[in-house]
Amino acid sequence: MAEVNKQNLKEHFSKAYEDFSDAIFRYCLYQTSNREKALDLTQETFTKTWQYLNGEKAEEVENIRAFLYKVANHLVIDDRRKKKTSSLDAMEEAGFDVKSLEDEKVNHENEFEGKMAIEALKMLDEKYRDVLMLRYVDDMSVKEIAKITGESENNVSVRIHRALEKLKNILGEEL
Amino acid sequence: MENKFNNLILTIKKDRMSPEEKVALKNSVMLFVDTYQASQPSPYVKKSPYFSGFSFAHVGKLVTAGAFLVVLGVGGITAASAKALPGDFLYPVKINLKEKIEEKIALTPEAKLVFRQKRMETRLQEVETLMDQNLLTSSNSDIVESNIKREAIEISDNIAEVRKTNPGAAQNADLNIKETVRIHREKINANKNASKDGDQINYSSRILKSLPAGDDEARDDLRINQTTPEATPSKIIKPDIQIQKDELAPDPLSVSATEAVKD
Repeated sequence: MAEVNKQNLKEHFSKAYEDFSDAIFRYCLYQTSNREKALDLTQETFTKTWQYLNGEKAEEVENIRAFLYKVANHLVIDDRRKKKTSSLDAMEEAGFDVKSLEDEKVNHENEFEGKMAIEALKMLDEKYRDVLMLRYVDDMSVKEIAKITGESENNVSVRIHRALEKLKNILGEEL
Repeated sequence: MENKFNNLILTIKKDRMSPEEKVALKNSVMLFVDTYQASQPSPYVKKSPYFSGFSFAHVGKLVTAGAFLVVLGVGGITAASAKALPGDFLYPVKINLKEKIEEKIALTPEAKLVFRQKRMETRLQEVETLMDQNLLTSSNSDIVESNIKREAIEISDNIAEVRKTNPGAAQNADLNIKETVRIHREKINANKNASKDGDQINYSSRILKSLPAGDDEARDDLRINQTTPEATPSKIIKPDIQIQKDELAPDPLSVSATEAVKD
């Protein structure tokens, strides 16, 4: 029985990879501005999650997506502590990093949109950018975002509102 | 504003891993999943408090490799060689120093297998980069072929080693490698078909022939496995690999043994 459960867990985990790996990668990419680093962090997110799920202290994970984001978030924070070069401005200095996003741009239907996305995000504070991405890019609920960031739902709602206001200013005035 | 905002969100949503990156990452993650399961300590075995996992052999390897990395890191040669392509001045540094050190640092057979999977992926990406830039030549395609063959042999041997302790992980790694090769084979083939340069087409054809079995063969392997339980992917791969081994380094002992049989 235990074996069957283990196999089920592996299948669910494999499906979770298929469903959420791109989103986790994107989250790490926008947090680190470095494609290679984002790939490493994405891999580590899944291996750490698997370790947790198989560990002695594992508790039932209700929402695997939120859990993965939480792990990714911790890894990103750890990474920043190790290396304090996390701003999106560093992206342009790093050469390859900008190129990674610029390369992605080739796939975009409209080249201007790609530039606009990067420019608009660069102008937002990190705390606003994070909630905006989780809410609208990753389609998360306020409750899920609160779980990931460790903030209250009320704080998250306020932050999203302010982020939208700020973005509105950027999109209206700067672009 | 709403339209701009929607465009912004759609644009960001398009940032994702390439299919190759996604498969390669999944290979590594699932290999970890398999090996992590296998390496779980039994709850019935209590470790002695006087025992520790300390090993002088491992420490020695790490210290040596670490020292090398520091030396190379200072020189910056390793970093500079990372993007070198076959035929480049720094390419030997990349494969004979940088990657060899990384390989040494991977201590377990499973860790080595993960590293070698990535290295095979790197070899195939190098081919694609050379083709993209119309840079395939007789000499660098020789290097590419030789590297790919050597990589296939090392991976095959590595899989055989992992199979002894963790057959599930070995089989997954086997299939994952074939899937990776299949994806790159398609890409190289597409580049070849799109090319109008006769030399590029010839060299890429040669490289395609040197690639190990792809996923189509992997599916065949699975079918064979289902009908004949004693057949394993390794047994099916081995003949190809053996041919490649013979091509790479003819063993004088094996020749004399064959002659001895004839006599």
